[in-house]
Amino acid sequence: MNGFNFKGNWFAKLSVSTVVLLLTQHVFAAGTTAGTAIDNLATVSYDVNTVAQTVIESAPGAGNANPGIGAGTVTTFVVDNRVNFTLAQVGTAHTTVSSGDTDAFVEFTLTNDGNSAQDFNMSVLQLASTDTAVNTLLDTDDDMANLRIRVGNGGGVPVLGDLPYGDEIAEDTTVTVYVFGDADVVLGLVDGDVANLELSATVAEAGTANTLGADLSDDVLNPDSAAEENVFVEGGGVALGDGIELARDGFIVAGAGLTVTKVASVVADPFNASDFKAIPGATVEYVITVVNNGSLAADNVSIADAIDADIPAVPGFITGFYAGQDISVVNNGGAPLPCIADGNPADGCTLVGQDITVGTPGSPISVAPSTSLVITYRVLIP
Amino acid sequence: MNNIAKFVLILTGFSAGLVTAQESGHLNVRTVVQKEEKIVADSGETERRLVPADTVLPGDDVIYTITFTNVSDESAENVIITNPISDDLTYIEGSAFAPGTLIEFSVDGGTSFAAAAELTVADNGIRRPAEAEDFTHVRWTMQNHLEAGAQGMARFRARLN
Repeated sequence: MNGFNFKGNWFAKLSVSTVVLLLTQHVFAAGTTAGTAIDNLATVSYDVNTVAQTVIESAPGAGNANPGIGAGTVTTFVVDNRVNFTLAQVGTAHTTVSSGDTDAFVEFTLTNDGNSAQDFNMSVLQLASTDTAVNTLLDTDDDMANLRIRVGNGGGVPVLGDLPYGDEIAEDTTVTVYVFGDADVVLGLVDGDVANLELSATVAEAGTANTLGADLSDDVLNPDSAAEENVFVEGGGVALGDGIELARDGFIVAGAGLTVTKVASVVADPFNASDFKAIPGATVEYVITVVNNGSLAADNVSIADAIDADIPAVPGFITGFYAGQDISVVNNGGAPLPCIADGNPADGCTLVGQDITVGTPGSPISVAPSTSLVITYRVLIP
Repeated sequence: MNNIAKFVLILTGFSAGLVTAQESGHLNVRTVVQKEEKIVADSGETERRLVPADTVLPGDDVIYTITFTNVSDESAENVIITNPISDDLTYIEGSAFAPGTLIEFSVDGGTSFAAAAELTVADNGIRRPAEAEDFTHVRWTMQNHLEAGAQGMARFRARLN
């Protein structure tokens, strides 16, 4: 019989991991830098017939028999590039977003455990419900919009203006990687939606700052003592030693989820002590219950209710309810809020014509998660 | 003198003569660097063999083998082979080897040598026994003459830092 509506404006509340990992030195050094030539030169002294002879230095290959310092040749090998790196999620919880949030992010660390500076080519993949759960949360086939990878190459916190790839990341260095995303309203994200994603890092050639080098290839089948080879030893990714590492994280939409119910009952009539009838002179009680089943508080909740036209708005048609109040507004089981239906919005309640409004801009109502707002008023059937 | 040694002598002597007119010494000294590779033989037993040090990563061991051959017709006495250990390498304790030699080490850049157990280093002002990683040089002193045509071999193992 009575129509009603509600609106809830809730603020986006971005909850992110606050861990900020800057340059981190590992306990174990990555070792001698790739490309270093390790030289060795033996020197032999000897006597002949008790007469000391000029020393002879060594040489590779056929050796050296020419006496004298400088006549030998070093025996050399070149330290190879032990390609080893890790990509890891920071924390074990999804980033909480509300519908409409922009530039929310999930955080990873990228560590170069190798013995040479590297670039890292990075990409991100949206996961689906068929993929394995991330942080125990299955993807709900919802995607964040406008995903952007940003790497804090200098060791700082990534910002939107940073490069989308690892650039000249020195050995034994950890950098922070953010994947930014927007919780696009158009995508219809609702409370509880989960958008999982997978970040991929592929090792690439370093050498030129602010330029992503070509993907590195493993030289394991091309051994050469005189040249620096790339030897992939990293353990994760798609396969062992493939030069790719993967890590997963996700976003979860956690807004306020309001449900509203309204119940009408006759609580008195002029003739009966019980089993009241909706007859002229009877009192009808309306109970509107707003429940927040979401994970965030619903702020600025406003309830509007239009009283049926069959109950004309004659003076006093809303009965006094609690001491001096026309409408009972009880939030989370607390004391009733002041509410006089006199058209004055200062107390948060107005009655204009047949329309009741509870929760006006001057007296905002906030409904906490897992609590309810109960609005009760009574009318007299003329 | 075997044929290979003769050939080496002729080659090196010839080229040296052309370039520097320097007289060849009595010894030919050759150093190779290798890695040890473990292979599983058909019998199922693990065998070890030395292969070229083509791929060397931090933490890998390399083996240096110094071969010294008396390419003259005179006996060489008091033959001493001295080999510095690269700063990027750490000597593997007990690995220095050469038949019939006295093996000593230096912890002062080759200025002085002594048996490993006799060496000490200053550590924050306190002397302590030297460890393998303190060694800067290894030295082999032959206890006998290296006769004409004879060949000796010295070897040590080190780990790439």
